Parts: sequence; structure tokens; C-alpha cells
Amino acid sequence: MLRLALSALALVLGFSAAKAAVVWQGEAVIDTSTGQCSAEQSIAPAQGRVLRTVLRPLNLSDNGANTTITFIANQTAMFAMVLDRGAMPSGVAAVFGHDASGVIKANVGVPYSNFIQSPAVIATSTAEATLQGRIENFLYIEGCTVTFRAAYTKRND
Amino acid sequence: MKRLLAALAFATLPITSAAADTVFVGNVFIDFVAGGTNCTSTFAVNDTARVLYRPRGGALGNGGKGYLAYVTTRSSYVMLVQNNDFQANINYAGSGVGSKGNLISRAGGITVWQQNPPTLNAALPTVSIRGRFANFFGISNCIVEIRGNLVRR
Repeated sequence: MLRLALSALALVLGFSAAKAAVVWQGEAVIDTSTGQCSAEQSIAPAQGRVLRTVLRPLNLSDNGANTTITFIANQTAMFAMVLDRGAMPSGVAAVFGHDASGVIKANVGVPYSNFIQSPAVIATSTAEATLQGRIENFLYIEGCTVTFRAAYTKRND
Repeated sequence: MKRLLAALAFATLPITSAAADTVFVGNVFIDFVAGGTNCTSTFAVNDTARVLYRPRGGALGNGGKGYLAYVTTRSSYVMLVQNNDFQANINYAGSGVGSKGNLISRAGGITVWQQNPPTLNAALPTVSIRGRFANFFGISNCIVEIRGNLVRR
């Protein structure tokens, strides 16, 4: 996998001011997955699987200049994608979290494509949002490519 | 984006494969919380989460690093101990993702550690742990104690 140095990120290093961030929380459904996805049985993102996801759009409140999208698989693996300046529909995200064994993953480069967010620009007044797209090496599983659709609701706390 | 990739040196990092490591997974409860407002408004006694415990050990297939991951429905925090066993009076390197997508990286300390059995092997069916951690979830001076019985995956 690729390691990326994201430009000028106030990423990592130290505890960020989470309480002032504005996020949307939801669920993602896996629509398609490649055969390699079954390699990690405890979290295999097969078609129809549902994952908790959080969307933290860029440039709102204390959210910073990038969009972060997290996925938690089976409350076992954490896959947090940082999209440089919220680049959509495609790019290479810097991914942080841990795999299904609890092994820390940091700044792992993951290609994504066909990302469509609605609304395209999210404001603090946006009540609901959706996101769909394609992610390679999903959940750090080599060769595991998925497509997904997610629906989000604004978190008010 | 091309801007992002311009002039960056890439280093390859291993992608997780289906290696034969030894991991224990289970439910933990919080038994103790102490700290400032950030801490006590985030954690409370009787909170529950899933824990992944991957202790160090070549015989376990786990190498020299031990990991303890505390995973909720929307956040997670992993404590890494390098070249040492989880035990009291040592430090750990913390890394996590908060419930609002905030990235966490902070060192902390282990002040209490009880494990039964004390010596692990790859055939053990379960292990029970109790651990008290400072700077839990990267929150300064947040002390949390967890307890649980874990099953080998």
C-alpha cells in the first residue's frame, strides 16, 4: 500500500477538538465486493453487509480542510478515510484506524472513485446526506474492492 | 488529486493479509473513570465496548508488538506496547479515531494490569483482563479502567 503525506494537514499528532466538529452519522450498505474481500472472515464486506459510517465534511465549524469518512466493520475494524480537500469523485485517501486484529494502520493510501455526495456541498443546516462510491483495498484487505451506498443524519451533540 | 501526489515519495506499507495471528475478542465494561469534563462526559462506569487483544509473542504469531483495541459502535482506540507485555507501570502509544472522525495520537500509561492466565499460548480458549489506562482515548489525564473476559478468535 502507499503511504501519503497529506499536504498541510493538522492531522494526527495530538488530540483534536472533537466536540466542536459537525458530523453526520449513518449506515453504509455494500452493493458489490470482489472475491478477495472474503479473506478476512470476521469483517468480510460481502454484498448486503451494513457498516456504521460517519461523515465529517470539510470546512464546517472545526472540521478542518479535508473530508473524513469513517467505516466500522462489525465493531471490529476501523477504516477512516481522509479525502484531501474533500476531493470527489476520485482520489487517493489517507486512511487511519486498525484492522480486524487490532493492528494500527496510519496514513495508508487507498484509491477511491465514483464518489457522489448529496448534497454536493453540505452546510451545518443540512439535515440528511447520502454518499456512494467505490473503494479499493477496503478495510485494508488487499484486492478487496467494494461499492457502497450510505445515508446519513446530522448528529446534534 | 495530482496536487496531492506531486513530488511525494511513496513507501509501501504491508496490507493486512490473513496471517495466523492470535487475537482475543470480547466485551468489556468500564469500572472506573476519573478526569476532567472531556473524560467524564465521554466515559461512564458500566459503559460497554468490544475489545480486541493481540498480545505480543512470536509463538502467538504476533511478533514484538502488543495491541489492545477498544472499539465502540462509532469510534475506536488502540493501545500499542512495543517489545513488552501489557503490564502495570509502563507506557503505551495510543492511536484512534473518535466518534466525530477526529484522529487521535497520544501516549499514555498503564497503571493497573491483571491478566488470567498470566502466560498466554495460541491454544487458550479465553483470557480475562483488567486494565487501568491514563490518557485514555487520547484525553489528557483521563483515567479509565476496563474489565472483560475474551474469547480466542
